[in-house]
Amino acid sequence: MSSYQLDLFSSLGINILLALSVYCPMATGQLSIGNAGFMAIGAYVSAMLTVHVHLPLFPSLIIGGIAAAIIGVLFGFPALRLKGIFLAMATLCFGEIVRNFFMNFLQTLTGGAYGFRGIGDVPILISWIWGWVALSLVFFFFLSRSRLGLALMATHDDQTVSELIGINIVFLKVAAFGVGAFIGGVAGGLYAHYYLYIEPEFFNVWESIFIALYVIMGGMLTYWGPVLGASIFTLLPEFLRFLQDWRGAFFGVVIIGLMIARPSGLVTREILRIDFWIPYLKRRKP
Amino acid sequence: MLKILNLKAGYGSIQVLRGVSLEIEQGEIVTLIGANGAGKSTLMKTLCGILSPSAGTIEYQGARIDRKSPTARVKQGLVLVPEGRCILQRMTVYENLLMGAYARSDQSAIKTDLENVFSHYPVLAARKDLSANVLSGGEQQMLAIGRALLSRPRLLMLDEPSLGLSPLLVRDIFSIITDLHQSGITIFLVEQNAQKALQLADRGYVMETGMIVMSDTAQNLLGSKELREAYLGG
Repeated sequence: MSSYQLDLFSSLGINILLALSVYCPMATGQLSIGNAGFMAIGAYVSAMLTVHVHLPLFPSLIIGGIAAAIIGVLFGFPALRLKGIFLAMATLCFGEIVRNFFMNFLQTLTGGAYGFRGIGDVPILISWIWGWVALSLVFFFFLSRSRLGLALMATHDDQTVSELIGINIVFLKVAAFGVGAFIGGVAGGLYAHYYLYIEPEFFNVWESIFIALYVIMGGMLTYWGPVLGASIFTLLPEFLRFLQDWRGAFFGVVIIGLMIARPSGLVTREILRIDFWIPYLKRRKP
Repeated sequence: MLKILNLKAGYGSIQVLRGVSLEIEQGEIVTLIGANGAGKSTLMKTLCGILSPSAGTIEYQGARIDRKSPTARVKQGLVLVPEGRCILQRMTVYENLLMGAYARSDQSAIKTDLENVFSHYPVLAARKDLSANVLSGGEQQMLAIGRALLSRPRLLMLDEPSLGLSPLLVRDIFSIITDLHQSGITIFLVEQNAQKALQLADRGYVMETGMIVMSDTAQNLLGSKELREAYLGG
């Protein structure tokens, strides 16, 4: 693989992980546009551990993920009281708080606004990245086939009914924030050790919005949605390089077109069900 | 089985229930009738735990439950079929039923209960893998009841099950309720269709502006002149 392809596939893997980290709260009906914050926590914590404590990569990634998850759970409780656009605003502010924290505090350890240098090289990191992607997909595969997966779906669709049938929606929503934050934190750690340099600006609002867009575009109702969304957002601009100056504009048009054609995202729950395809298979419905 | 004493509840500063007291014995069908805005649905929400009361007590099977979570109440068999066919629209019929058993952990019994529901309501069996939103109004109400059955109710509360259904379907739903009662489930039925509800019930309560204004046997209520004028159309 050329280094261009290597870079592309690494960032694809990281973006898929980030998309899954937003998918988690979204699966319970909570829109988060602050997940770059969790990514930043994972990136800085794991980088500090490998650089200053000389811990190996794996435990550093896990601790970075857990640090993000703890913050995620703490954020999840007040988030319970917020809905829709207000929750989105709160998550956005959260992301900015984290970015400003790493800009202004711990500067002796992280370099602050000058950026964190000296992160050690880890060979064959791309297999680490895709290993985590595979692990996450296995997790979501089993989750979607479990009772808990059904409960997540029910909570997303109708909170009142979910409460009535005895689902503990408080637990589910907070846990979803925590799990999402963990995945985001691990993705941040991988990001830091792949690019060997991080600075607070990497984790700004734009990054958060892009991650949320992966999920909104790809579809927020199944875990395949974020995977597809992240893939399109990462790969399509590369295939459009021949358009030169028109590339950005054309990509924008493609996004608008997709949103018109499939307003609830590319992959919906229905599309994965057999009865969705029956009309296309030219058979009559039973 | 259920004993409510001086229950008060509302939304924010608006008080809807202004001291409701009523009692339901094991094995009864009790109906609650009242006009729009009397507070019937608010009472239901308070009983199942979505709304917390500001005063008063709810006693169920001899223990107070008014501070317990909805989950705990479902586990004890206090199950509500909410107003307006509250089903999970985007999930399949099968998934909806399965969710009814979410609070239970006896896997093999859940399976038998599922089969029972399917054999009692063959319409649901035929539409098992379809999205619940493609069902007709009557089928959706049936699904809501089926889902409640999977929670193994001891006291089943139904909030206006006949709402928006054609007279023929209303008859079907009421015969389902009779069957459920015969299988040993205590029924608390909230209805605007006072005539039908009282014909079915043992006893009835009449609610007006957040208070119980009448309570008697269903027979007597059907014969009562006041009630006939107010709810049964003269």
